[in-house]
Amino acid sequence: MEQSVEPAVVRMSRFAMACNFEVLLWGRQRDYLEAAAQQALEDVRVLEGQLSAYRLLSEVDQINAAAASRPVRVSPQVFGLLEQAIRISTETGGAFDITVGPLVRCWGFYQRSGRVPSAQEMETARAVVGYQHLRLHHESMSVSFDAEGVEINLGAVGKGYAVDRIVEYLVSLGIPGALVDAGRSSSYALGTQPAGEAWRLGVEHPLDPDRRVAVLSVSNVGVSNSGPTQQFFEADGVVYGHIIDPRTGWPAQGILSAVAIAPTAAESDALSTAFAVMGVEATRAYCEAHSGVRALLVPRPQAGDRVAPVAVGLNEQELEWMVL
Amino acid sequence: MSDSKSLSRREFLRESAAAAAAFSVGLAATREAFAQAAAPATDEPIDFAFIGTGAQGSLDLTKALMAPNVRCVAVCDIYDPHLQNGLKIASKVYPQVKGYTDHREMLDKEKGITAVLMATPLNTHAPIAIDCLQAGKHVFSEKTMAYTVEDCKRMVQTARNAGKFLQIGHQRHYNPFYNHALKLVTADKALGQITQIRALWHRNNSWRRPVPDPKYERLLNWRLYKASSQGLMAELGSHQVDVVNWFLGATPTSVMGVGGIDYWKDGREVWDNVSVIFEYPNGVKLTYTSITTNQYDGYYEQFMGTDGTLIMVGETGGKLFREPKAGSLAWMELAQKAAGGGVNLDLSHSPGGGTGPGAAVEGAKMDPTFPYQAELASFFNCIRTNTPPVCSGDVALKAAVAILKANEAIEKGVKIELTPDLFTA
Repeated sequence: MEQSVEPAVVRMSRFAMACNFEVLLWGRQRDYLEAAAQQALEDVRVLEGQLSAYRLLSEVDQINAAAASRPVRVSPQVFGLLEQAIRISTETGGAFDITVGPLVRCWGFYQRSGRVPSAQEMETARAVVGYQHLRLHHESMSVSFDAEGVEINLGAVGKGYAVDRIVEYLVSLGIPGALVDAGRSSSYALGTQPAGEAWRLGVEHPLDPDRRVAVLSVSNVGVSNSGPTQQFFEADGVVYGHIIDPRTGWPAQGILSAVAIAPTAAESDALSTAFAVMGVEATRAYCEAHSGVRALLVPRPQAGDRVAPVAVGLNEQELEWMVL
Repeated sequence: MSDSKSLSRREFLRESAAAAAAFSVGLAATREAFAQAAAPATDEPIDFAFIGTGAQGSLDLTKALMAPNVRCVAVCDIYDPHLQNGLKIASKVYPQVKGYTDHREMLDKEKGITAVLMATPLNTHAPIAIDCLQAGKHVFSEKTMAYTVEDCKRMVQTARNAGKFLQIGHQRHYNPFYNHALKLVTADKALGQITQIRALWHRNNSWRRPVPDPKYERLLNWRLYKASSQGLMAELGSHQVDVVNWFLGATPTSVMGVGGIDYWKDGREVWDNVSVIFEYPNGVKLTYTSITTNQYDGYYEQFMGTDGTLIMVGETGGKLFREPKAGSLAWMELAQKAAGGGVNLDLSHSPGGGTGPGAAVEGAKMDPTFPYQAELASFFNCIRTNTPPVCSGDVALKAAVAILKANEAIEKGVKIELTPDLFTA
């Protein structure tokens, strides 16, 4: 196999976890890169099986079916991910919570027919939402719920986790640079572009997808984006987005778009959801307390005002504002 | 968020309960059975070792660790990155897990292990499995059973003489969809008399693994070289021939075929496409193809009978079409009613022109990796309860012999008659 002077660049994608996973990687040999990308994307199928709440007999499905009655043994990987999810829940004061499903459902977002729930429905759902309902048993590597009706959904962290596993695999193969993303909402920028520059990630304008509010120049970090502007409904003049604040039971209102930058894509995935719930000040406090975590938030403007994005912890090299 | 259209778990259970005979019902029952089995065990943990933690081995190890009350105390691989990966997975459950590069040294030092699980290149199945069986361990080995017919038979005989269980990784035997489909075919006679079967596995890629250093090419891409591999028939075809043997309760009586290295002329030594015809008793034919240049068909097994057609697609679902003259089965109408506005049971007309009122019943989406969890949980359960495995060496031997003889027929360009004694050890 001859070696070319110009680095080869390979881009490959595959549909999984209800979105498009894409791998862009570069290196010396095209066939090597193609084999790497092929295998990496094939492995996502395995992860989807483990993590999806909608795949019958997946690990999450097995947990949801039985963990209220008895501890359910899970794989080391899923156990580790649950530990990570609970840690982030604790650190964000419950703004990120993998048990939020019953609330999302009672607001109609799972059914894609949003509506304001009755007080009774809210109360019923809130009784079973809260990461405190999860019990992890290290000895038996199992998980249980302390109440009937509790359920978990890894939708807000699973894609990032899968991106991390792809990156881990690419690193093990000595790939010098890659950009891996799941549905463009969770990504990891590995190394640099072929010529040595950082990867450049555009941040979509939440109200005008054809424009960008900023471009981030990053390397070896996870970058994720969450926001309520794709899925929402309107009732009595109020717009309700699909990101529910697990602590109050109500859709988070203050943020149109939250980008989180963190050491891993799983963390940035979970944190982007948390930041959309927490708002600017709490996000600022979080980033100050956690080195390596930065954010870019787009608060909902007052009627008639332009959007005014806020950067948290990002330096000049990393951030380039676009003219709005 | 297209997932949001799916039914919730509770809705699914309600619907599947209504569609009592549909594919989906088996899943809820299977899940419940698993939940029961996963209750904390009171007996001693089963200590096992894992040999060969590459791609498939890592998945198997992960799934094995989900079985109740088991510990992986040793991992063995001759390739360090794979060994480290195996240790990483196993150490989350048992931090004291030890790593080895030589399975004989591992067997010498780890006297306490009860079982060995292995996912190694095909040519090493027999020697390693036989070493483990002779050391008094129960063995689970990935498919295909072994590199030669003689190797397969020696594995079965060694297990028998050692009084240990040998299970081979044809995971479809543990897949609720397949078990339900088998009931439809045998007990319900939903297909009438089966006359013809088509099975295939079509991909469009090089089947190559990325190799960081050329010196590892033959180790990591062992599937592509004759000294270690029996090619597509072994790596893909054996699963599907196994299903045919299982569903028909028979072994083939002859085989012929063709193959070639016709597209991926990259130094590989095994065919990149194969087309094979097996004859079974009573004139039943199985046509089998595996190609690496087009993935339109994906992979499936299609059983065609006088009353209907059953297609098992991608290991996670199936469809049943009735011939016009045969009419609907009672449960199909039940399923049709239960489907309602949900999407777990999609009813459709036959894609072909020849099938009239028959309905297709498609299963809900299942985690395609669940059968690995099921087969390994079952393996440990067999050890605990002293019950022979479902996919024993005797069962896997039948699939292995069929595909090895298919390769021989392709190689020699002849039709080979297969006598029953070939399939027993």
